[in-house]
Amino acid sequence: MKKLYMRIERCAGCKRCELACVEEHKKIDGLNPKTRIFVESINDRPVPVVCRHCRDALCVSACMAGCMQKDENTGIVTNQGHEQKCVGCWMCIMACPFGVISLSDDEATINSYAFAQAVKCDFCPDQDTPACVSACPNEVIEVKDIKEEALCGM
Amino acid sequence: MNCMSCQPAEQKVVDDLTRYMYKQARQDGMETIYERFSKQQPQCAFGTLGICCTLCTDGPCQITRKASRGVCGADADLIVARNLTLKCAQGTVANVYHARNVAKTLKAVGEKKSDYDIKDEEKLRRMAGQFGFDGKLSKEQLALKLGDFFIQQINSNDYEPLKLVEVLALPKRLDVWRKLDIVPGGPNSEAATALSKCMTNVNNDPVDLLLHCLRLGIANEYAGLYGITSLQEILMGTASPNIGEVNIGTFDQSTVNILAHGHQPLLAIKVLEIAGSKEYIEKAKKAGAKGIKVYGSLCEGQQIFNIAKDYKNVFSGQIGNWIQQEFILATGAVDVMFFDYNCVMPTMVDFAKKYHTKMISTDKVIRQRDVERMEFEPDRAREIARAIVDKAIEYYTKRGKVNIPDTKTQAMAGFTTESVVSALGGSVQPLIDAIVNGSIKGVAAVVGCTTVREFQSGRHIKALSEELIKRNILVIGAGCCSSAMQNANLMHPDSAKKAGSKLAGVCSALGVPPCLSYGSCTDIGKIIETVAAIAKTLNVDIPMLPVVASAPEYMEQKAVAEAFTAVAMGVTLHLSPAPPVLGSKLVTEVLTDAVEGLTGAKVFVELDPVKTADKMEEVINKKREGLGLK
Amino acid sequence: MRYVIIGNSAAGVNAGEEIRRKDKESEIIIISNEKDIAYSRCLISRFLDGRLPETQLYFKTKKFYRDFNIKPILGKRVTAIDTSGQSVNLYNGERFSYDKLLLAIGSTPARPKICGLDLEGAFNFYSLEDARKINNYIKNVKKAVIAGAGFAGLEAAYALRKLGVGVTVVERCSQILPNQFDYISSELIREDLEGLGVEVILNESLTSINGCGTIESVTIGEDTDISCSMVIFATGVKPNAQLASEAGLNKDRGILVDEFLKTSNPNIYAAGDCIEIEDMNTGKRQVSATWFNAVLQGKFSGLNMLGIAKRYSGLVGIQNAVQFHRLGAISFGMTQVTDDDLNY
Repeated sequence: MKKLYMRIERCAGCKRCELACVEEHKKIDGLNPKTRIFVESINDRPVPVVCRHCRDALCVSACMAGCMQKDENTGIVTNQGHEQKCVGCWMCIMACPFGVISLSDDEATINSYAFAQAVKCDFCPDQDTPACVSACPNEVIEVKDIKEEALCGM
Repeated sequence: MNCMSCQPAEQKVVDDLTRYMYKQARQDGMETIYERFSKQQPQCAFGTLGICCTLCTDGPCQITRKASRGVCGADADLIVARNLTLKCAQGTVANVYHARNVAKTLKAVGEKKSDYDIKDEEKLRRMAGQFGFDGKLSKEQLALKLGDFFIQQINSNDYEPLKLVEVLALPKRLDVWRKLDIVPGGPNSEAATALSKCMTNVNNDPVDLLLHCLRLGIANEYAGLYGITSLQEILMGTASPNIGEVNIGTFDQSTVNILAHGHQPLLAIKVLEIAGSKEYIEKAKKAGAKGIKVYGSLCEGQQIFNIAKDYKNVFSGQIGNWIQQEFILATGAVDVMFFDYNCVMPTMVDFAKKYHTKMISTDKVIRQRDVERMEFEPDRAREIARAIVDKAIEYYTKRGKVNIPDTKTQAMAGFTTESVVSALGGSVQPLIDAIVNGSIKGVAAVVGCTTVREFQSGRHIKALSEELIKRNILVIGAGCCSSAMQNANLMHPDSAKKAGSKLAGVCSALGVPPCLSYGSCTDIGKIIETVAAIAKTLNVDIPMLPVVASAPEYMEQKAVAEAFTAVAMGVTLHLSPAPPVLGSKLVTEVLTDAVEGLTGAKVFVELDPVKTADKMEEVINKKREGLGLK
Repeated sequence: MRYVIIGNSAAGVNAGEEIRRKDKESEIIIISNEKDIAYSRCLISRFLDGRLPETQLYFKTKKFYRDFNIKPILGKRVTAIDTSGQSVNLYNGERFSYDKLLLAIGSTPARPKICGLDLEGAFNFYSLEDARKINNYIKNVKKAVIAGAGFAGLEAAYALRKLGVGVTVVERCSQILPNQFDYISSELIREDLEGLGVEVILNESLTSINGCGTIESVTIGEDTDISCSMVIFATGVKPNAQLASEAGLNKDRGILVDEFLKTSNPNIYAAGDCIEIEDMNTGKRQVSATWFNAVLQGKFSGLNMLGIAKRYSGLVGIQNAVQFHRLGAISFGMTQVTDDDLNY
């Protein structure tokens, strides 16, 4: 299962990861693209925070539309690309213990999708390497493929 | 990981009165330094580590894991050293600017073209004599010669070793500096050379740059700090212990209130005289006030506080430190704030507008847009002072809402070499005896700025000072550290009980607090003078003494210059936060280790106040061991 | 093994899926009185106002039952549980035996006991079928009154406004969303709704519905009449516990379960709106009617039915998230009023 790991001692707070994420997702998010990775300040140091693609993702359980799903093979949790569509109901944003889901509610998004869309890290499906990983000048972010127990619910 | 990042700004404020005014300012819709700090987070670690260079158009460059050199070829060591040297130069010339202003005034006194007198003729003659001027000359003639000499020294070339250094420095120190070839010439010239060195593709030797910083540090002391303080003493008198009120609760709603803010107290002396005059007290009463009170904030306040004995009826308190300035205006109680140099936030203009304060700038370097200028000249001081007090009376009648917190705090100030010696009965020997017999373990200078950085905002200064005195280490404060200690009730003689029993005993016997305020950050020059005097008496060099320094919340560039001053003087220095050098292994190692082999002192960084006290105590203990003391 | 699940919504469906993921062999049956395949009850307002077609209401894929080899028995009500014989009886006489049974039977909307409930134009707003009925009736409706300013009532109000119908919401409490938000937040949300043209009347309830054959007006309080041609009841739901109590299972307001979601019968579990669960924070039992809790309880009960012991102990207050118009809001924790005045 693919995960993003951070070597936080290397982070300089330059936010290139955020910019790269926004750039990569412009086509989905419309006019007001939002980053899905966040560089926060913790104890006076920059720390990047991003979706953990949890084994027992709470956002998946909270989703009222059924669109937030964890892929059985890659482990990636996303609300895009499924039969069920996101209705912008805020439930996954509420449920996420890491606060890494946002609402994209600008005009362009609502015009394209009829609803505001929850946006979160989708592991950059169009790239071999996630945009944030490529952009980081200090090699803070690493993609690791780890073994996760087969989905066992909560 | 303990999560303090969402901590509301109020909790970072360690002082109750500041927190009270902070809430008021927020209620009034004002954005303060705390909000601005939050909005800047997270701050760029390239900058924090010193490995960001913005000198030329091939940049800006950062040293990263993927890029170990800037475009021009500069590596992390060079970039860090260049950035540091620039700050050191800035701090040095800033102090020297102040010193030159004082020297100009002294010269003007000699030329009989000023509103000032010689207050301390004895000191004038002694100093003039040190530099070889004829003792038979009149005091005006000596003032002229000494003032002129100082200005010449400031303007001299870097290849002409400063006579100031050769005359004033401890001979053993001078030997060390000569061996290292770091005896500086004229400070402005030294700074100019340093700036040239720091240009793109000029000096590529980080160690050479660091040695240059030591030169600047030495020049900073003799042409800067010591010049400022000793020449001011000639004109204003020397500090003597007195008790006064401190912190924001001091303001009096019923009087015309004038705030002197900055670092250059000469104009303030005239304002005090005018405000205390019968003529102006009458004017104030006609306007409906009970009288006129002049307060000080920042280092100017400390300097006036030091000599407040002479202005008891009009000087009413040292209000605060750098962080507090916006909150001071938020009381609505300040009618005029006149400021001269250093440490004025640009947002003070907004606060002044909101809270009906008239701002007046009094030095050409501190100009602000839309702020009236009344720029100080030695022979226009009285005229400007009158204009300031007139404005204050006018603005008193325009006051809006006033909200002054209810608490009154007192502290004792007025310590310096002379007054300490005097308190000890005429020599430093009693202090030495106390150190030898262990009732004072050692002396710690806790000096410098305040910052709003995580966990600081006065918190580190207070906690560190409390720890040190518990361990029977005498604390000497200067700059905003003095203010923080005063606000935290550590500088009243009663606070001796917060010290360890031995130190408490000494302090009680002398009627002094365990934390002695030397005054402003420029009075660091006097701290060094005291330390040198002790070294001289013992006939040792400074590094042998159980003395250590700390700038636990240092903020700006003068502090960088002072850091190099301390290291050059042979006093080991604690710094917090870490200076922007950690991106360079070389510079970090030199400053925290190798330099001790050169000058006898080094720097260490520690963010936790208790651990800082541990390490400072360790330094003192080692020095005691070296002297054969227990 | 045969697993029988009564209930085809959040809890029931997720329990079925969870069981099937771990157990490829056993038989899983889901029985529901609703004839629709598993749809998200929370989305019916978006169906009502036209933003979502019916086909977009399903929270699992259309092929879900086939992919997960679950047998759906839809449109048939369970009338009794035979605990000794371990079987469930349907209304038409059919019986299904079970090894493990899950009651995920949800709740029923309450209606106030007032005159005029039988007039044409009165609706609940609970199921997709309710939404369809409202949809069919709405064409000539100019003005509707909604009883209750909880989530369901306000979702209905929002949907009706979007359809151009005049709306007045009547709420018994002194704030809207009394079980979800504090007073200040509820006022902000009310302002947001009123910006849409929804009228909100607080501290009042319906005392009668008036008309001849069809609804012509409602009376609130003593003698205030509001003309309207539709009334929607959204005054709260009661957990469906009757089936359980008739089967001798312990219940209070809802079916009582332990931390493994097991009822007083070792082979019968319960999850979702129909149960009462202990709040970790207060130690008190309460009904936990939210989609999120129902999904989690469904998953946990599935695991427990499989014999994988998984304590469900997550309840600390209730979480809610909503955005009607411009203002999005989330609440956590002690969001419910503590008194029992929800029972009509």
